[in-house]
Amino acid sequence: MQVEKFYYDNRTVKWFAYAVLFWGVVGMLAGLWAAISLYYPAMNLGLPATTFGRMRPVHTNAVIFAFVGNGIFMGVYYSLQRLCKARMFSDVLSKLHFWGWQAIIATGAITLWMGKTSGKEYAELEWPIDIAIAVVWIIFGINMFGTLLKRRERHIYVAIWFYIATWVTVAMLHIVNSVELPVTLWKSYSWYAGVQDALVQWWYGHNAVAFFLTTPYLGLMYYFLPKAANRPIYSYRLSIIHFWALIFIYIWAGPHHLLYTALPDWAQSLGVVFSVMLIAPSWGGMLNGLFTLRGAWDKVREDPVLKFLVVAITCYGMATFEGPMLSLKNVNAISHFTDWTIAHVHIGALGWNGFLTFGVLYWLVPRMWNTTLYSKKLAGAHFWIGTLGIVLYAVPLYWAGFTQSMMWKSFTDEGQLKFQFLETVTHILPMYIARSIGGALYISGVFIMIYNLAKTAAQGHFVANEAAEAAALPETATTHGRAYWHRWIERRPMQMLVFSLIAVAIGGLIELVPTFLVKSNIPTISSVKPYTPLELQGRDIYVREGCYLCHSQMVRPFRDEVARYGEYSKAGEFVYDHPFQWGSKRTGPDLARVGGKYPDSWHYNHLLDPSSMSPGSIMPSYVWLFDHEIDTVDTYKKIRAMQTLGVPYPEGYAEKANEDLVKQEASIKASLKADKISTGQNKEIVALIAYLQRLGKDIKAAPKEEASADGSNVMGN
Amino acid sequence: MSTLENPFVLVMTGIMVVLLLVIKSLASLLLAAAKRSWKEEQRARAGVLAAAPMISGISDTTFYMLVSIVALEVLVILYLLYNLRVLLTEHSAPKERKSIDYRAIWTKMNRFRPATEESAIDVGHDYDGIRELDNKLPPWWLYGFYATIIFACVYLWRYHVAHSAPLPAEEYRIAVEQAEIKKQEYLKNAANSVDENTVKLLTSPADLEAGKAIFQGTCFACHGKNGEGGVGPNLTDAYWLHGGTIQDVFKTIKYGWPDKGMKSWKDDFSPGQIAQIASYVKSLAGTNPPNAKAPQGTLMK
Repeated sequence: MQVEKFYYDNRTVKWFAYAVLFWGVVGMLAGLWAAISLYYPAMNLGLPATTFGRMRPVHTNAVIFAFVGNGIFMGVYYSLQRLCKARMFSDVLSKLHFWGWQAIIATGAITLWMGKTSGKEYAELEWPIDIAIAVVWIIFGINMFGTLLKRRERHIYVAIWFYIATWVTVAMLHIVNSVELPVTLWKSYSWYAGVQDALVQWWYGHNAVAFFLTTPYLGLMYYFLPKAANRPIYSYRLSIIHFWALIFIYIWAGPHHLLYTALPDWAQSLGVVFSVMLIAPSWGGMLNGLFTLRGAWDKVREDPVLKFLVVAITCYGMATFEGPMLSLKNVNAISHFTDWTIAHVHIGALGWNGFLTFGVLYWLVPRMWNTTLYSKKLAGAHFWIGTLGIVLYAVPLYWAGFTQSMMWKSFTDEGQLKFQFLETVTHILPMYIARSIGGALYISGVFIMIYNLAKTAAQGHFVANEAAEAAALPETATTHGRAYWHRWIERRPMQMLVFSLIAVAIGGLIELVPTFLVKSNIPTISSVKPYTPLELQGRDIYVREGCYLCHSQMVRPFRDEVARYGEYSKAGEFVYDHPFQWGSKRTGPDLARVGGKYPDSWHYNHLLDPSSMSPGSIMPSYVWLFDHEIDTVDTYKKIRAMQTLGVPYPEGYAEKANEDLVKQEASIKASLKADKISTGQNKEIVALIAYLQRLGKDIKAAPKEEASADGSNVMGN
Repeated sequence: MSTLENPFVLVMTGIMVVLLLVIKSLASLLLAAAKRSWKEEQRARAGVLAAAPMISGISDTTFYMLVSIVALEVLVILYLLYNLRVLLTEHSAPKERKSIDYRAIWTKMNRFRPATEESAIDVGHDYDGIRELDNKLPPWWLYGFYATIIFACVYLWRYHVAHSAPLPAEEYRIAVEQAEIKKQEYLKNAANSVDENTVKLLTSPADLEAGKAIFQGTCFACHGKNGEGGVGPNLTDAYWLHGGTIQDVFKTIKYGWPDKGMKSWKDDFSPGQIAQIASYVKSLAGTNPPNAKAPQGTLMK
């Protein structure tokens, strides 16, 4: 058998590692900034770009797609070559992939700071960037499958199954969720509306967690853990079962983000039961990791890499146990819209993704620089500070979430709400302070690591092309021991891709298709009318400022929410909402029924200086809305776009839309004038007030029976 | 080096202590709630209508759910503790066990094979030096998986086929009904049950002070710190938009005038509190605060 010589490409891995560190710091600092804004609203320094509503998407996008994203690519480019005994398929594609991804992230961060957003959580980037993401993702795919095709190893290892499932599912999620109609270069409307948009969005959002934060990292665990511990994988058959079960079941669980909303009940129930069934497949990964360490626990005490990996896997186990618990309806009723969810996702992000990335970095850098780690002590300090940071981050937020929810739900004996919304916010501010200290500790750990890695690199010598040799792929496969049926697909990466796609497509199709096609899922309400041109302009401002990141627009059928906000939300109310704005966190009160609750002048004063109307409010001032003018030239394009999406404006309305806009603006200005407030022409504030005053108004005009009908009975009838 | 000086052990211990503290406080919170609800139930039993089982505002199923989550989290901690113990005892010679051998139970639970038999279950794979064993699935994991599948079937059956469990809309209706029963029962025995027909002007300093506190914390945003008006009308002059008697003012606060920007406050304040606010507002007449808004409405004497 002929032995072939070749070289592994370490340079691309090195660049991705640099990107991980750089974007990790950017993303975490953005997070810290946002965390401080919550108890110190003036943190934005009076600038639009640095308000919580814009900082938070920068934080989430930077941490998920830049920090973890580059972490995935770093780990995949390192392990895939070695598991395939082949250099990456094309150095040009590797370069294109690296620089393309960094360009996407940089443009993404800048446009988000500028307020260019599609208004859908974890998919905020606007349509030109969405296209770029698809292109770069395909480049990554070609490079990965090209490498698989020229591999010198007949069977593909479990880590690669996870990489393949990741690639195909993320492609599917991204494309389906990003269907949007461009209006201008940096503005688009989601193709879907209301309930449907919400379902697609959380099918995407939940599975971004599954297939961007979980499956690729499980793949990395399957490579780096046995390497670092020098132990065999505990159970091959557990790998097979938990892999297929995980990808098949995960895709169904999206609706658990929409429990008690206007989503049809049958879809909510599917979200609940599949989340519960997800515990075992998720824990399969944890067990296979921890049990692999059997007989190597003495190493865990000494080796920083293993320490990080063990805590990462433990956090993964905790988060994947907690996730299904939070999907149970009665727990969700308490946890949803509060900081409980935030704590939960950070156990995953800081513990699982963060610590696993750190472990991999501590393992990779000394090897690629052909040296040993500069300081084990510093790595130990990083581990210590990081762990403390996670605990200090999560525990106060668990406490805050539980406390606030209990306060929301408290009634006096006379049947009145016991607390004003604002009281429930000011009550948990100390917890917010503690949490930002936890976050700051975690970041300082990262700085220690960067120093340690830089010192390591400085004392070594970088090996850009690492020599390796392996026998060419033999014609026939030989198997030792018992040959599993699964070996068949392990020789066929393309079939693996197809079967993975089938496994993940089933759940998506069964949930999405009926919601789109069966009319009874979203009973229409005749009094619900399209937004007026001025309201539409105001809504775009609402989306731009990221109001949905603190204010929900979804009154759930709970006694306290109906008492506090009004009649609970119905599916038919959102049919013209491109995109939906239900939100996922209530840092401020729900706004679904805010229309008409306060006079126009109240909103004017409140947006100028929130604490003048609500003393103690943690909302920042939105002074720029009082200077900026809306672009009335875009009104035409916006109405036309809405018509294309099926919003029933009369024929030829786009041309006359600005007439109505001027009329409505005049009436709002007149009402402000009555309260001694005068404002200039076309100011954004007036459009925003118009939108806020519209919220929840239509359903109040609806006939009684129609308004109380909702999708929940469909399954029963 | 003693294992106790090992930072990893210290951190693990730290995490566990914090988690235990959290769980302990969560548990005591729930227990306190349970105790209170038990007392309430005793009281309710005296009445004719028994309210549905509630524990401090959350349904009893939710309560037990939370308790079981706490219990499960305790189990996770115990598992961590076990790992920690393994770390701590690694160096010492195995002691003779007198009581239950947890390690043996754990081994049995997972169907672990002794390390010496490892070569027998090596499937012979070699991926960049990574080998794979063919250990059996941990039975508790497998049966747990089956259990969740059975749970899923029962869940869907109950909610969507048998309809023996309430869907959100139904759940809401039940919650409101029960709250109404509880409220009526309370009001039967309470002196607080004034309404717009029975309300009387309160004059005691304590009531006016209470009214003032609420006014200056809530109403001032629209009506000004001293009732001089702002977004809302001036309350210190003799002009009223919706009537100026104590009954009228009570009604305005209770139901609001939503189309004019005054919201209804009946879900925020009790009838007694609304009477206090209304009386305080009435007491503002003729105080002539600075920056007073021009009169609106009709003159009432």
